[in-house]
Amino acid sequence: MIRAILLLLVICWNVVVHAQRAEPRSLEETQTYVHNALTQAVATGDLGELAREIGAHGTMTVELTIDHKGRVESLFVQDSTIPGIPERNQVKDHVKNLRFDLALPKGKRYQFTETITLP
Amino acid sequence: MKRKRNHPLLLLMLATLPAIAQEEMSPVWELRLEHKANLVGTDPNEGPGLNYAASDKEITVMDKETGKVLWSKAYKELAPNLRKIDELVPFWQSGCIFLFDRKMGKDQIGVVDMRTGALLWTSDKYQDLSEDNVMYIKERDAFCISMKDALHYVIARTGEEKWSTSTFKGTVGKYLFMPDGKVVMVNFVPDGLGALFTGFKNQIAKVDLDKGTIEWEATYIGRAERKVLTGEFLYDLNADGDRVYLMLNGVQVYDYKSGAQLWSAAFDFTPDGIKGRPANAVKWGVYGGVAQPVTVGDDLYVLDCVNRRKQYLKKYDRRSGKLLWTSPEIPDAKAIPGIYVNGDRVVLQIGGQVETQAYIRRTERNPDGTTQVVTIQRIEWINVKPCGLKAFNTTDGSMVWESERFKKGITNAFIEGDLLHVCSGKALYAMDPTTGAERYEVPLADDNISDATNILPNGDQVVVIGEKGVSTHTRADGKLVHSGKYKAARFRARFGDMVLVETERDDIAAFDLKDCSFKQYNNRAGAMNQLSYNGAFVYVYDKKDVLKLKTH
Repeated sequence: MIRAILLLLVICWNVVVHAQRAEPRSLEETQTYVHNALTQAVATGDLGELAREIGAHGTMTVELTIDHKGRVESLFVQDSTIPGIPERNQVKDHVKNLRFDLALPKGKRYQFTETITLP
Repeated sequence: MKRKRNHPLLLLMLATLPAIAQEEMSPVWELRLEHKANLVGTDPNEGPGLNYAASDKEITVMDKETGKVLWSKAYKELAPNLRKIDELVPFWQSGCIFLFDRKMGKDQIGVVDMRTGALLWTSDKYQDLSEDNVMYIKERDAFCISMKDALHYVIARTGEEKWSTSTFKGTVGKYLFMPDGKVVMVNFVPDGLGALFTGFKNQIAKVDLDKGTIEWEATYIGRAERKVLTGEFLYDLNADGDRVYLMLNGVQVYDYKSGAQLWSAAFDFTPDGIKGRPANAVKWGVYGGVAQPVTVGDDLYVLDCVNRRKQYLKKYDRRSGKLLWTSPEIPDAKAIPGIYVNGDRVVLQIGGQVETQAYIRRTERNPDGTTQVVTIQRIEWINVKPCGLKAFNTTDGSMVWESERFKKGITNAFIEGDLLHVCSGKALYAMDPTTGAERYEVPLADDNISDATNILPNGDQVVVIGEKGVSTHTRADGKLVHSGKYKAARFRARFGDMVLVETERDDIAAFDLKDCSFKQYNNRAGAMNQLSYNGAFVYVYDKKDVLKLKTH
C-alpha cells in the first residue's frame, strides 16, 4: 500500500515538473527560449537588478553552450560595450551561473550566440 | 718507480686542497632594503630578470643583474583595499605578481606589473585561490584560473574573463600548443585542494582557447601532479603527427582529431608503501619511485607497478601499442627508479634514492603559553630497500643476470661506453651490461667523502657525490682523480663543470669538477637563498639584506 502511494507521488511529481519545464526540441526552439528568458531576466529579474546595482549598461554578445539540464556549460564573450572590466566580468558570471528551466534529451547540448542588452 | 714519482705531486695536491676548500663565494652586489623581507623570489628564467623581497606591508623589486631597485612600495599605495598581504605569487613569464589578502571568504587579489609596480587589476571574486590553481598560458598572455564552479580564461594584463567552462574540472596541468592553434590540456587536483574540486574526474581535453570550446575530452590513468614544493611536472605531454602522447604512469596515446584513446600502457601506481605521510603535512609527495618509460627507436620499455608485491617490465611497440613481452615477476621491489637500455640488455635499478617533499603546517606552543603556526618545507632523499640490479634480454624479456652486490644500498646508474657505472655507496663499480661481469670495483674510502649518494657522467670520468663531498674517478679503470671534502650535504644541481651541494641549513658548496675544489657560502640563520637559472649565482635574502654571490 505504502509502495503504491509512493509510486503515485513520484508519478504526480514527475507530471508536475515536466508540465513546468520547457522541452524545446531544436536548436532554434532552445535559442528562442533562452533569448526570452534572458530578456525577462534583464527586464524584471536578477540580471537587470545586478546591472542597475553595479551601473552596467551596454551590450554583451556571448556564445553559450546549454546542457540538457538547462545549465550554462560554457560561455564565451564575443563582444561587449559594457564599460569597465569588473562590471563586464560580473555580468558574464551572472549569465554563466544561470540555469534555464528547460529539459533537453539526455546528453544533448546546444551552442548559439545571444546578445544581451542592458539599458 | 712510477709510484714514487707520483707521490710528491699527490702530496702537493692534498696539501693545497684545504686551502682551496675554504674559499668563500665572492659578492657581486649587496643591497639593504628599507623593510624586512620574509617573502622573496628570484626569476628562474634565462636572461635579464627581477628579484623581489617583501614583507606583509611592503615590497621591493630589483634588477637581478645589477641589484638596482626598480620600485619599492607599500601595498596600500598600490591598491587602497590591499593594506596587508598574506601571500605573494610571481608568475615570472607573465611579468605579473599576484598579491593575496586572505580574509576568510572575502579574499582580495591584486595583480601588479612586476617591472613597473603598476596595479593592473584587482578582484574579490576568486576565493581560496592559490598558486596551484592558476596556470599562465604564455602563448596567449592569459591565465587559466580553476575555481570550483568553472575554469576561467583571464587576460593577464586586464583581468577580463573571455570565457568560462564547467566542462573542464580541476586545475590545468601541462598543456600542449598544437600547430592549428588549439591546445591539449591535462587536468589535476593539487594535493590539499581536493575539497575544492568535488566530482573531479581525470580529463585530457582539446580546447579552443579562443572560445573555450572543449572539442573533445577523454580520461587518463594516474595522477597528473606537480611536485608539491618545487612545482616540476611529473609527466610529459607531446605530439607526433596526429598522436598525442601522455607520458604518465607509463604511456597513454590519443588521436588528436577525435580524442579516441589509441592504446595505453599505463599502470596506476601509489607510492604509499615507500614512506608514510608525515604528521601535519598539508602537502606531501614521493617522487622518482618508478622510472619513467624509456623509448629506443620504436621500442618502449614501461614498468608495471600496479601491484605492490609484484612488478613487471613490459616492452611495447611504440607505433601500434602492441605488447611485445612481459618480464618475469620482479618480487618485492618497493621502488624501481632506473631503466637503462644498452644493446640487447635492459637493466633495472631496484631501490635507491627516492625524493620526498612535504609542506608541514603545525601549531607550536611558546614558553609564555601563546601559540604560533609554523610552516616547514622539507625536501628529503630516502634510501629505499631492497636494492639491486636486474638485467633482461630486450628480445624476449627473459632475465639474464642479477647482482646481489647492492643489498645494502645503491646509487643511480648510467651506461657510457658500453659500461654500466653504479655505486653501492661504499664502492664504485663498472659492469658489463651484457653479462653482469664486474670490470672493476673501487672502494671509495680514499675519496674521504663518506658514502656515495649519486653518480654522474663527466667525459672520461665518473663524478661521485658523497654524503660529505665530491670526487672524480677515471671511467675506464675507476682510479681516483680528485676529491673535495665538505660537510654533510646532498646533491642539489649540476651545471656543466660545476656540481652544487647543500646542507640542511642551506649552506651551499659549488664544486669545480676539474679539480674538485669548491667555493662555499655559509647560510646565516633565518636567511633564504635561491640559485640563478644557470647556477652561476646565489641570491641571499637575509632580513633587510639582499646579496648576490658568484658560485665560481
